[in-house]
Amino acid sequence: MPVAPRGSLDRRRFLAASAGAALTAAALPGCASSVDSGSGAKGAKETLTIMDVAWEKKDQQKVEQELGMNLDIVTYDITKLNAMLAGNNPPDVVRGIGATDVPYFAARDLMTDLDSYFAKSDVLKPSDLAPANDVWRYDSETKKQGTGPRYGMAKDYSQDCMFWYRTDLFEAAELELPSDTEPLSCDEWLDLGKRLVKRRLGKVKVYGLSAGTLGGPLTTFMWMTASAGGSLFADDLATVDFSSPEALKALQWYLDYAKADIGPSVVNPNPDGWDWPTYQANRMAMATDGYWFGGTIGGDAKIAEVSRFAPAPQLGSHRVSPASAAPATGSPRRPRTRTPPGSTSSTTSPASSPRTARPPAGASPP
Amino acid sequence: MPRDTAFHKQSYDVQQRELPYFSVLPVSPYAQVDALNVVLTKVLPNAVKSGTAAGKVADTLNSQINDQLKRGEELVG
Repeated sequence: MPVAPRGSLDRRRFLAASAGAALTAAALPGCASSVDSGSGAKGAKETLTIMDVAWEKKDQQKVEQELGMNLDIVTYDITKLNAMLAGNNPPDVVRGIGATDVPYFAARDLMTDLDSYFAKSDVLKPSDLAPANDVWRYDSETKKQGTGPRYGMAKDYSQDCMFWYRTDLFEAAELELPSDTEPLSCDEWLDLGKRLVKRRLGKVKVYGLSAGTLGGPLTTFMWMTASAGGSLFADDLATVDFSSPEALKALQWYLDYAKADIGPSVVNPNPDGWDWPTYQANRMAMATDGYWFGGTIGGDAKIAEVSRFAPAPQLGSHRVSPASAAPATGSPRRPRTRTPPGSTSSTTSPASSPRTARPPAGASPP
Repeated sequence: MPRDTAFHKQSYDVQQRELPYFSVLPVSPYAQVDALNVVLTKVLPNAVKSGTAAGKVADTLNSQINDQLKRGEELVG
């Protein structure tokens, strides 16, 4: 199936790509909207509301029996979460995106401090957790992520600017394979994408490069600016500066990438919603995804045989390979103030939110 | 992590060598990343189609994103 090089990700395709998860805030009566229901634990009176990717019924039933509770699984959607928080009826547990969500929600006192729970636990000790879990810590006084109370625990994490590539498509184009040890420069990466793209009648048939990172274009700019030796945000995190030499270099790279029309971008989003269906269908030569994507590739022996992993490319002389997600479970708290979440982001729209790049249910990392 | 096939071994080895470069980049508490991405998805397509110079695009992004951050800062304090 040819990949349409033009056209935006309209609402219908967004809904399809996000497994039917999106509900608008207006559609919510301020209560949890269940998308799946197990039979519930026998005799259970309490119900735990969990916002997550969709669960398989047998998994839900097993957990309900183990906990002796009913589970109400609400499919994750940031707009829905904002509406539930604003309605003072948040889920008990949310699987969110630690690296980018924590500062916003913690600064508004909308997450539960889990330190006392860790202190009581015989099983979970903070000293046993990988450092990546610190993305779920936030100090409201210093406004620093990585220190302060712990609001969640990572389910997994990856360095999300690394990329996977198809050796068969490289060989067909008579191109040398990227190094396992030396990062490509972003210019080399873009050039490879231009050589690998295939078009028919002016339309892209095979993407040369999918350069978007998990977390949307902002995280792509943050990463590339850091690689060039700068920072997109000011030290106090109150402003961005796209005009600095480093950020401008990142912006120019992205404009060149989008103009070249060699892969999904904000101009031409991938109709598949994320990389895997396109990559598996032999219509994507390079996909920017972390190690977790290998769990999906590994499930298809034919694709695994022609797939390899490569270091995150560099825009400048600084080698950085960030995690832009670190999804985890945390527990929201009912707002104590009248500052509704999302009140600073009235333009947030699920129809255009780049979070559609998140994999759908069933594509969990290894 | 699996290392029983050539595919798994190659990806595992590359990942292991990448770990020293792990980082988490700072994100502002004053706006949701989704909201800032919406600004980017609105501004960039027109910039690409019209061939607007990067410097001018940067000015637009600075203006619109910093407005959002300012409103968030005023709410959070």
